[in-house]
Parts: sequence; structure tokens; C-alpha cells
Amino acid sequence: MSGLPFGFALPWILVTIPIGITTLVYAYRRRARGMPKVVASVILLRQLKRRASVRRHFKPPARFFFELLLLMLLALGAAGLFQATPGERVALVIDTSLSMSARRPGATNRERRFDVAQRDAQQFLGDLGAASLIDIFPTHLHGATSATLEKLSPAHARDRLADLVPTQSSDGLDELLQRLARSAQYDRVLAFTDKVSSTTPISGVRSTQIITAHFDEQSNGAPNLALSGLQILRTDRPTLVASIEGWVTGTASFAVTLEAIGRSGTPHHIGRQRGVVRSGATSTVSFPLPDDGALAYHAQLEEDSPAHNDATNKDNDQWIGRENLGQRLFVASAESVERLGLSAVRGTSVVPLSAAELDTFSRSKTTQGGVEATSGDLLVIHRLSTSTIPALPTLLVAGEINGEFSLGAQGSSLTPTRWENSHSITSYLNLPLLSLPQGFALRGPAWSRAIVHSSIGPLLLAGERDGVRFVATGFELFPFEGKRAPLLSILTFNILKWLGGSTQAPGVVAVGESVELPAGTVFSVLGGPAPLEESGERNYSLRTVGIGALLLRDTAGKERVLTPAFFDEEESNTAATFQTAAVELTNRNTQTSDQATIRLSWILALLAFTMILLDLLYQSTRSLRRPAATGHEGTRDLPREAA
Amino acid sequence: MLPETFTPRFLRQLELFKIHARRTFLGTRQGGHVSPKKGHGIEFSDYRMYQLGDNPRHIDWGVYARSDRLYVKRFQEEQELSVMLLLDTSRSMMTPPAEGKWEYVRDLALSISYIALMEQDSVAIALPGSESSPFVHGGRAIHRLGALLAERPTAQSTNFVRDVQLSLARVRFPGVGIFISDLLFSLDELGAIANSMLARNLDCTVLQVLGPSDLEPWKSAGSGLAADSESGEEIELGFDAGTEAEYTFLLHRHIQEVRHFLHQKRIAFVQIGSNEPLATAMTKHLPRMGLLK
Repeated sequence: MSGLPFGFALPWILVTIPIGITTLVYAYRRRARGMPKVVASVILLRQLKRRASVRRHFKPPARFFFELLLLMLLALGAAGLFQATPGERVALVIDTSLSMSARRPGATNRERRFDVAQRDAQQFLGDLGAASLIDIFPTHLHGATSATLEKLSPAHARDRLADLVPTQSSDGLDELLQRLARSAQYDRVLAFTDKVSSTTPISGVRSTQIITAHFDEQSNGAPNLALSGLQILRTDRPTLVASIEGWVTGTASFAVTLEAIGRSGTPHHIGRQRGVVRSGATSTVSFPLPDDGALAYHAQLEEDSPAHNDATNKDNDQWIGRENLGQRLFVASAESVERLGLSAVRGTSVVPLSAAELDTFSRSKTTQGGVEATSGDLLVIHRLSTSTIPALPTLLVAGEINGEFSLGAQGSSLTPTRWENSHSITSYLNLPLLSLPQGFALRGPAWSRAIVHSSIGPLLLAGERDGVRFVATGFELFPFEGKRAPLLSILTFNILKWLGGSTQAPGVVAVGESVELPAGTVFSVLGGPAPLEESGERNYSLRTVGIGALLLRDTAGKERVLTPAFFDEEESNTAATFQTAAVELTNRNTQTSDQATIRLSWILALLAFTMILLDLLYQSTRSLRRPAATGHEGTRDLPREAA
Repeated sequence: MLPETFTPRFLRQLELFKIHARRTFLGTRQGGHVSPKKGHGIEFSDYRMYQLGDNPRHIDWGVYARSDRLYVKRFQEEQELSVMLLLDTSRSMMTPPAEGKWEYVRDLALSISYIALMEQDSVAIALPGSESSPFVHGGRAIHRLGALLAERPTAQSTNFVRDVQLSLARVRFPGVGIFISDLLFSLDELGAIANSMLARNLDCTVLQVLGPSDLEPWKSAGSGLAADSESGEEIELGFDAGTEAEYTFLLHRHIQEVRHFLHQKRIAFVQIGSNEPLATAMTKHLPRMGLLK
């Protein structure tokens, strides 16, 4: 069907065509045999073994073709034949920000906004012509599509769409739409979001639609300011950028206060910035970050204009760790960094290591060139052996793995039988999509956890030891760009993110992440009214350090700062009534005439109906022209039973 | 009215024959066939002692002269013969109509009847499933029989064996029974008919009349769908040289089985083609098999 300008709404009805043709041919063959010739007795003819040896060719009359055409028309009409606009290029923007995870309060089916948007997008893709080319833009990629998500057919786009999940990120929908407008590559742009966008129709694009996936009860119409995102830009001097979204009448001024928290747990003030945001738009403020060894930063948004009261201020503060600052990727491999695809990792500098210096680096964490790895750096050992695994977050790609991670059996044509969906590395993967040409089963230490299983054993192990994360893979993960194996590339990204502490610095736990502690761990709250409990070999203490953060400290003095960055998905983007007039909101029914599909079913049905009428007319006039039947036709000499 | 086939010349030919029964039968009337009853015939049987009351005209005076005893001559009485003609009235006899198989059977039956009637025999023609004639006598009765067979009979039921048995129930005196049919049915049915005739103590004869379409169906039916004239059963036909040979073999095997079956029951049998001249059948086939003399 791919590439054809036609499509079928109910393609399974086409099965009736061969059935109908078979029945029609059988009926005509039966009729073509004519009236039986009466013989005295068939008692002897019945015993002939070769009596059907002579077969006549099927020579259908003209009426057969008439009825065949009628049958085809009816079947095609019933199958919902439609004509699609050929070669249409569609940009499909789907909001994957965390607000799409919001569920209808009190609803029993627990359907998320993202589920609604996903369903609408799937329905829209189902109605597109097979020749259409679709680019999917998840908003968390901020305008980028990975190589595997470009120029998809509607069927493939539907599959890809099913793989997307909302992530903890800002949407940046307006910027993305404007960017698509500037590219001028698309005939149509559709955005599936819960945001009330101020985007005007994009010039040069035939159609721009915003399909909203909000729940009615959420639109309370109250003005709202939200700190929608924090981001640390890696420049010569690190800069923190805070994004502020506003749904107010006209414009609203705001102020953002930034504080840092150090290892002592004491917060200190960084700075305060003011800005103005207009309704439905996103505004940003920047803070240069001092090199003061802070573990995390806390931003607080405040209303700066008394004319607008921020009705919901729970989303006005966020935490962000000093995560990737200075993070490097040390890669020990016989392959070049480019060949492994790691040169394309954004925001990370790659330090290649030769096989000879791996052992030295593993012990001293310093390269021969004098580059010293810090706790925020990652190490990738690609198909090389080392006697010592350094105290760095390390990814070991199975080859000749020594030490704690060892190789087990080797198998070919491996298909993983189970994923640990609860683990952050594999939580976004779908099992049936991955098939491996070959791989190794891994045996790891007790503190590691098997994440991907196959029939021969674990293929992927991950674990933490003394605050350092390790991942060992029993199969090739690169190139992560995923041109050949998109799922593996996602897996690689997830591994790198997990090794790097996600968006947080080591020792800092982001919201939504869980702190895994050994069994029997007992907490005591420092500075709190009373200790929780205390037992076991290692004691942890948890205390508040002001501005809502918690400090977790064990008896060895190792500390973790818990920064509960608040995000209330239910109350985000609540100001639907502050939409601007330029935005055309549509309902969720994507069956619009704008989709450039012309249903041919009605034409076919009309044609078939006309043919039936003409045939009836012909038959009625034919009977008038012919003399009345004599009554002898067809019953000549037939016995009464047979007649 | 007799059919046109019965020309005066043909009738004169028929008058030369008489029905031959392989056994003697008691008759009710004086006739031309030797009866087991002793009486006043012309054929000497034996002697017996004179008894008081015997007709003196029957005393053999020559014997008396030689032996000085009175003996009376006894004679075989000659009586009529009952001839029962059973005609197959099933649809197969009328199919195909243009072949005239039924007309041939009709003429055959009338010819035999004419011979019997001219010999002072009593004749009855039974049309199973349709009407039948009573036993008739005398040469003029042939016209009654001709009128009976003038129209094609229409069998009311499809159980031919039962109809034959009902027809045979009318037989009160044993005699000659002649069954004329194409015998295109199973041996079981033929056996039932034969047993019914034998149960009536009839001297049985079976004449099988086959039409050209029965002998070579590919010339009339050809290829296509064929329907049985009686059951309506349809079969797909396709003839070639091999099929024709196979059919010929099956037909001859069927005839041989019928012949063998009837022979075991001491029933005379002859097969006649409906395309043969009637005179040939009457003057050659039937005398040869012993029905006519």
C-alpha cells in the first residue's frame, strides 16, 4: 500500500472480493452446463470411472463481466476507498512534557493527557494517505528528530508514536512551531499538546492545527505563572537558564531568585533576575554560576506585578543539580571515537584511551596525557580487558571483560525475553522491537542487577558500588545514533544518562528518582523532632537544610542532598481562557475535511446503484419484448421430481 | 386399431407361429395346447379297462379282438393357454421419445398377443402402474389390446416392482408369462419381479429391448449433464474413446449378469434391439429362444 494514492478505511472487506468472484464463477459454470439431458437410466453411466474426463472451458457471457464489475464496485465501496493527497509532508508535533502525564482527577480509567493526544495522533495518521511522509517531533527533543523518526510512512509513524512517553522536560512548543515555519518543508503542521499556544497560522504551510488534549475540568481560568524549566548551559562560564511560562491577561512581570546549596547543606544566595512574560509565551532569565562547589541550585519564581495574582504557585520553584558540569567521556577502545558514534554525544567531551593505558588509567584515573578523571566523568571500556575497574561510573561492553563482570555463554540470534521495566535504563523500551545477531550472557557481582534477560542469561547488568555506577552489556551498544538499531541507541543514551547521574550530580537525587538503600537501613532525622530509627551496619541521617531540601548522610560521612523539585502535573497550564484570538483550537475529532482525503465510497456506491437500476430496467423491457414463455422451456422430458 | 406395422402380410407370417410352453398347463377352455387333463383330444394317451358307463365309442375293438378284453382309449385333452404379457411402463422405456422404444415393445407385445389369440389362447396385457386388460379370447380381441396400448401409459408410482406384483395378482391360472423391459435396473429388482412371476407358476420369458441410446449413449447424450429419467439423478458426462469402450464393457457385463441370473431361475431370455425390424424379432429371435414355434 505504501506509495499508492489510495487507501481503504476498512481494508479487511476486500477479502470478500475473491470470495464473491469464486461464487460468481461457480454460479456461471453451473449455469453454463445447461439443462441436463434426460437419459433412460444412469445405472451404467454412474459406474464410469472416466465420465468427467472431458471438461469444457469456461466462457462467461458479457453479463458475467457486468456482474463482476458490480461486485468489485460494491466491495471497494464497502471497504471505504479514499483518495489521499499524494506526497504530502506532515510535521507531527507531540507534546512530551511532563504535564502530559496529568490524569483526570477522580477518573477510573486513569487516562493521561498524553494517552488522549497519542490516540488522536494515531487516528489522524490512520486517515492520512499512504504516500504521506511524516516527521515526528517530540517536544522534549526541542525541535530535533532522531534519524529514525524522519520521513516515515503513516504506518511506521504510528508505531513510532506508540513508543513515545512523556518525560520531565519543558515543551517549548511555540519555539518549535516557529522553527518548523521557518523550515518551510511541510505542507501541514499538527501539534498534539495540552498547551494553549499563541502560535498564529504559519505562513507557507497550508494548514496548521493545534489539537488540544486537555481535560475540561482542569481549565479553571485562573492566571498562572510557572517555572517551566531549568537548564545549565555549558559554556566557558556555566550559566543557568530559567524558563518561565505565563497564562495571564496581557503580560506579567516576574522575578526569579537563585540559591545554591553546598556540601555543608547551607544555602547561599546567587542572584535575582526580573523579566516580563506575555500570555501563552515563554520567557527566560540567565544566571552566571560561580565556581563555588555547589551541589545543587534552587530557583524560586515570584509574581512581580500586583495586578496579577498567581493563583497556583506550587510550580514556582525548581531544583537542578550541577550535573554535567565538567563531565567527560573516557573511551577505551580499539575503535575510533567517530566509528563508535560517541563524537555525536551532545554536551560531552570525549577523551579517547588506548588499550595500553587502560590499566594505568584504571588505577590512577589519569591518562598518559595528564588528564585526570573526576567523579562526574564516565568511562566506557569497549571490548577491552582490564584487571581493575576504576571507581568511576563505567560502561563495559562485552568483549574480554575481566574482574567482577565476567562473560558467560555465547549465543547467536538472541532475543531478549524480559526487560526490567522498572529500571530507568530500560523503562522506555519495548521488548519485541529488539533482536540481537549475537551476544553474551553476563555474570556480575551480587550488587549488580540483571536488566535485560535472554534464554541464555542476563545480557545487561547494572549496579552501584560505593556510590559508583557500573553497567555491563552482553551485546554491542554502538553506534548509539541508531541508524541500524534505534532501540539500542535509546538504550545507550539511557545508560550514559544513568551513569552520569541523569540530570543531577552524583550524590544528588532528582525528583521522581528513588534512593535505593540496603535492607535494614534506618534513618535518623538530624535537626528534626526525633530520630526515626537506628539499627544495622550503616546508619543514614536525613535532615532538612532549608528551602525545602533534605540532606542524607551516612555514618561514613557520605552525604546526599535530596532536592524535591516540586511539579504538580495536575495544576500545570491551567489558564485555557487566556488564549489569544490568533489560535484556532480544534476539538479532538481529527476527521476533518482539511485532511485532504476524498472518500470515494459514495461515488462507488452511487455507480453500483445506477448499474443495478439500469440492469433492472433492461431486464424489465426485455421481458416485454419477448413472447410469453410456453412452459416447455427447461422442463422437457424431465421427471416431475427433477423439474 | 392396430399399428401400421401390422400389415396383412405380416399378420399372415405371424399366423404361422404358435406360443410354445415348456410345460403343460390346465386350461379352462378348449384350445390348441396339450393339457395334462385326459379327455377328448386327438392325441392318444393310454388305455384303461372299460368301466360301466364309458362311452362304447371309445372301446378299442382291435384290442378286444386280440385279447378278448374291453379297453377304452384315452386321449390328451387340448386346452387353451393363458398368456400374460407384462410390459415395463417405467419412464426409461419412453426415453428418449424419438427412439420409439416403447412403440417397439408395444408392437412386440401385440404380435405375441396376435399369435396367441389366433391359437385360441387367452391373453392379458398388464401395464404395471397403469391400467391392464383382462384375459381376452379370439382373434378380434387383438383390437381391444391395440386400443389399450394406443396411448403411452403413464406410471402413477415410482415403485415398479410393487406395480408388477399387483398386476400379477390377477393371474388365476398358470400359463406363460412374458416380461418385456429394457432391464436397466438392478438385479435385485429383477429378482423380485422374477420371483413374483415364478410364484404364480408361470412359464417365464424375459425379453430385453434396448434402444440405440442405451447401447451407445454418447451419440445422443454427448458430453454434459445427464439426468436419470426416473430418479432425476444428475451426473457429468464426458465421452471419449476410452469411456465409450468402458461403457460398452459395462453394458455387456450387465446383460451377461442378467442372462446368468435368469438362466439360474430357468427363465428364458433374449435381448432385442429396438432398431431391429419387428419381423426379424418375431421370426428369428423368438422362435430361436423357444417362445414361438
